[in-house]
Amino acid sequence: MPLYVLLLIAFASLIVSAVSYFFAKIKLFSFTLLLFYTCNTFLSFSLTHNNHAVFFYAIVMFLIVFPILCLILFALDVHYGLFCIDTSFVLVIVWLLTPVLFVVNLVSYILKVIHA
Amino acid sequence: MPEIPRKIFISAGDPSGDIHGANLMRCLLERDPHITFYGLGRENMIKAGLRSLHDMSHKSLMWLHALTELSTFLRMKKECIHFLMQERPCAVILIDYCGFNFYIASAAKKLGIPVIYYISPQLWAHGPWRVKKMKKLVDRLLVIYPFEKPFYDNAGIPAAYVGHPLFDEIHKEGVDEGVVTELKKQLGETIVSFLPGSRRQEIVRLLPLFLQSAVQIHQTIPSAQFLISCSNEQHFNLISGITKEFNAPYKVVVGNVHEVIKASSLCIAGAGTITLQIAYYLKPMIIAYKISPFAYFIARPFLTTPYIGLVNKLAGKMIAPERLMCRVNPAWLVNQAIQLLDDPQKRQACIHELSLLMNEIAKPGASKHAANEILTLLGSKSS
Repeated sequence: MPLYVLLLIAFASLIVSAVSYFFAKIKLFSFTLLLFYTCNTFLSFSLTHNNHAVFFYAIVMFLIVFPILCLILFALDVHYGLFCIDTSFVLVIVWLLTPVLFVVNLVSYILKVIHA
Repeated sequence: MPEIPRKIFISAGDPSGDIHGANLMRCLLERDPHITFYGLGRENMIKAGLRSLHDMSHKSLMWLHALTELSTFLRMKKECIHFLMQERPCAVILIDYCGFNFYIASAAKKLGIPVIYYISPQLWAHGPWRVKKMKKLVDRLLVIYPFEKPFYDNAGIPAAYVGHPLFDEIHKEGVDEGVVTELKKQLGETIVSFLPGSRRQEIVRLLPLFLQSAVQIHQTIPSAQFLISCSNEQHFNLISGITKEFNAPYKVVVGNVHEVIKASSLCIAGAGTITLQIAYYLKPMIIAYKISPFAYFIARPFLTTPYIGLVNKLAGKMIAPERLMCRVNPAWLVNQAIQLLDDPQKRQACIHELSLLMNEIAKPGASKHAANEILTLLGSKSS
């Protein structure tokens, strides 16, 4: 699949996930966010893995694995009441990091196109 | 039969919790003078007889400020848990402030000490899923709003409605009519008061909005004069700094909140407990709250109540105009203020609804009822 298509899907899924989160449509939010992370993982791999492997792993750890872990912890807390603190602050982390992931991939794509 | 000395651990984090905690302690001591209180509190609770493990007077409890004092909080938690293990008090009473108190509840529960939560955190408004945590940690909830009891009953948590301790305070303190007369003499009969709240962040967010509307209200109603309620001396400089930028006839009053409200024709306030105080004096009010668009985006899925103002939530309908704002919108505020000042029918309708609400809930005795519930629970546990 061409990279620009992946970028478009990632962008669309980011918008739909934000809107579905805002209106508390949890299933749609979960699906679109998963789609967003999947697209961006492929994008990051295609754009950075060969020439900048360390950068790729940093993106995966900090911008993909970390927010997904945060969401899993939050979901567990909602279902089982695990933690004493109010874990809703993790959503701030997730919504700060999610657009960053898209912007990083977008910039990497633009740089790749310019250098091609 | 000789009386048995009892140790109770009590914890309150913020200034209002300290006042309500002190009142509760006095009521408990009236009923049972053999109780000794240990725990966390501020000057009021210490005056009421608390043997404080840590002075909470200068502890900031808001998000980022709390993070800067993380090591202190961890030390406090460790000391409290150590105390619970060593002394095994007969009960733990927690007052509001669930961020820290849930940790104390968790430790007490593991040690088999009964946990009573007085003034439940507002989980019904933002974070209903945390009720599951509450259910695991708390033996008895003493709630202060009537609608909280069915909310917690549905979740399977034993809850008792004891009334709002604010009304105990209002009855105890009373109003200095001399101050009210003086304010009216200085400013005339059309006084609009601004009550942005007691937290720095609330003042910074709301006061510029209020003052922008003050300028426009004054243009439409030249007789209108403005009072700004400053909850304590520490915020006076902050308020003075903000007011310099606006050209409206205002006076800043430090303390004397009841007198400010009573002297006013209209109050413009933030969304919290202050709206109950205003309702108590049957003053028409406008409720405005401002948050950043990002904060609104994050919080929006968890807002379970259609109202931001406590009086509207309690009444179950919009009895005072309210708006949650992401951007400064003084036009709405000005429009509502002019209607409530100039339209006698609208004004009277608001006062009438407030009086119906206050007839229902503004009854003193919350601390006494809470003390009775606690002693009943302790009696049943010890028997």
